[in-house]
Amino acid sequence: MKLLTKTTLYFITLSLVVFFVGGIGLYKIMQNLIEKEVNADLYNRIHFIFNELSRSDTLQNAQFIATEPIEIKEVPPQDMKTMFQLSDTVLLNKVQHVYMPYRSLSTIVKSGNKYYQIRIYKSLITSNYLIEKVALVIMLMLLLYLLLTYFLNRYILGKVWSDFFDSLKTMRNFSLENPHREPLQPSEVIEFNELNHVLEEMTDKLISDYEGVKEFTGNLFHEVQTPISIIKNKTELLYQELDTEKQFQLAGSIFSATNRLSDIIKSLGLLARIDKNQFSRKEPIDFLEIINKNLEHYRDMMESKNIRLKKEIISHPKKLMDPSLAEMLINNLIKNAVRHNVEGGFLRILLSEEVFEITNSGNNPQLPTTELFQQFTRSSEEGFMGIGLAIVQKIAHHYQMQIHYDYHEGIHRIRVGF
Amino acid sequence: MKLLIVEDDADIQESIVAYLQPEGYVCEQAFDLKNAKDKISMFSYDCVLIDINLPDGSGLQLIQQLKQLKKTAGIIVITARDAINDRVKALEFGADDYLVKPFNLAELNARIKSLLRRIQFHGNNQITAGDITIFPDRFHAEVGGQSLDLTKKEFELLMFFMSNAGRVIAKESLAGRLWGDDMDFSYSYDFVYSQIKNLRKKLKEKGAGDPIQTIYGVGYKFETP
Repeated sequence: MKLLTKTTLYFITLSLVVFFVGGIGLYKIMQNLIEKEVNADLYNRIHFIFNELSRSDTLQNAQFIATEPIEIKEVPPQDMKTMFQLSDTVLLNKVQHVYMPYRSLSTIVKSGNKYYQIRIYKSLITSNYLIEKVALVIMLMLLLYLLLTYFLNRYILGKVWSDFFDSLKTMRNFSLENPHREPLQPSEVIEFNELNHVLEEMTDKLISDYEGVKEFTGNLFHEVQTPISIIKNKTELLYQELDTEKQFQLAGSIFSATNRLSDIIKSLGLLARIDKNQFSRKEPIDFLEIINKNLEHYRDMMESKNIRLKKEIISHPKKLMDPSLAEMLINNLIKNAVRHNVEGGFLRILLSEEVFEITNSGNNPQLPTTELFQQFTRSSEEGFMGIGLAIVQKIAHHYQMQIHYDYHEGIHRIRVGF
Repeated sequence: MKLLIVEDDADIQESIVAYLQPEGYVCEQAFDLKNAKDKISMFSYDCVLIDINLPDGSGLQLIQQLKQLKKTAGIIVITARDAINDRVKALEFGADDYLVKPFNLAELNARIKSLLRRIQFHGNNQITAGDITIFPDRFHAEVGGQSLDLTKKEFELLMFFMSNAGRVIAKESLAGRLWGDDMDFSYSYDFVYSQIKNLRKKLKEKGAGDPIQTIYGVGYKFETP
């Protein structure tokens, strides 16, 4: 949810609650006031009638005094306790033939020897009308207020947060592929300045850490080459001096381990160099040519394993890539498919404008196929096989190519979508 | 044969010299660019081995100077793995071959021999060991005048063995020779074993005996009586 949407939603919800409660309160207060007013008027008039009665002891003029409907009827003698009774009722309007709301006040009076019940009325039409109008005005005000605050909110939010969005945009463009810090625009808002400050510090730290790691790995890969060379060369020299099988075995282990170390460093160095964007040439790459070259390279090995090769070339794609990376991509995939193939197995290559697919027979990798792209995933007794695939994946990601690996009942399939 | 080895690391220098001297080469050493430049201007060499990364400059300058002086020496450069540009430049400047650190001495030896043969015999060269003779440029091998029918890989192995005759050769070096710079391929030696098995069989059939001796845990040694 966007910041604007969220604040507006909160605002509108809260405003509605406040207006609803306030509206009801106001309505009740007004109703109460008007009721009191109406009642006061009714009492006023009845007292007027009492005055008349005490002056002339007749109800003849009562009709005129009342100005509004009045009922006078004789009732049987009773205890003359003055009592008033208020009630709401409706009367039929003879002109319009509709019932109108009225408030009535009734009491018993004694005129001569007779008792009368007097009931006077007051119309509630005007007061109801008043309440209605007031409610309408309040509603209109609410609507106007909400509309105004909505636009005001948008406007203010845009103004106040613009620096924030500027910083966000700058930060979004940050990438470790090309690590440098764009200066963030200073803001009038202290909080945003603080945020910018923290972001800048974090970015600087990130860049310096990244550079540090890069430099460290670069130095490491470079500096270990010499000692590794020395160990390898000295072991080769040592080979020439040895006599016993035991000595050869020991020296052989040293040589193998050093070679492995050298290979690991080589592969990690390569991955780091792809990350560091050191392969940035862009040339049209003829995939078929590379595929054929690599198949030729491994032909002897395929023959020695009696692997059947099937090529399905649908088209002849040319993609813009770094030639070294393209070579590594194809080489690693073919090498992998040959190396992990089984005696008498098959290797199928499919090349089209959109996809390069390599399918081969092979043993169960014993691991989920996604994990086979991890560096140094161990599978089979043939040592670490994952590094080749890790390189493949890295190159594919480098060029935003889709890569998919699946295994089903002795058949491995890797698909690279261009 | 006179070689100049330009390499700043004393240990590596020493190893190279120790491996190459038994081949009958006269090995001279230079540990920096200045020293190497002095030497090439004063003396003539058959082959110059140049490490590109030198403490006082790039080995590329040395190649340029060799070419300016119109020296006929063969040039092999040694580069770091991540310096592809150096490699391309070195070949453009006129280097004949390159090796990537860390390299095998057996491989270096084979490369130097092959380069020297190329320079000296202009394509009409041959290597002989006992009854076996190979003609590298024609991919042809003979045992006592009888033609030996080998696959490309078998031929390469035999040539590598003969270049390093009398030396113990690590199986890793053989795998490296067959697969070039291919990383992690050296872990499956099955193919090397099967190729050597075939090679042995073919040599025996032609009456060359078994010059390839297995050294358990290490590799092989090629020796003819």
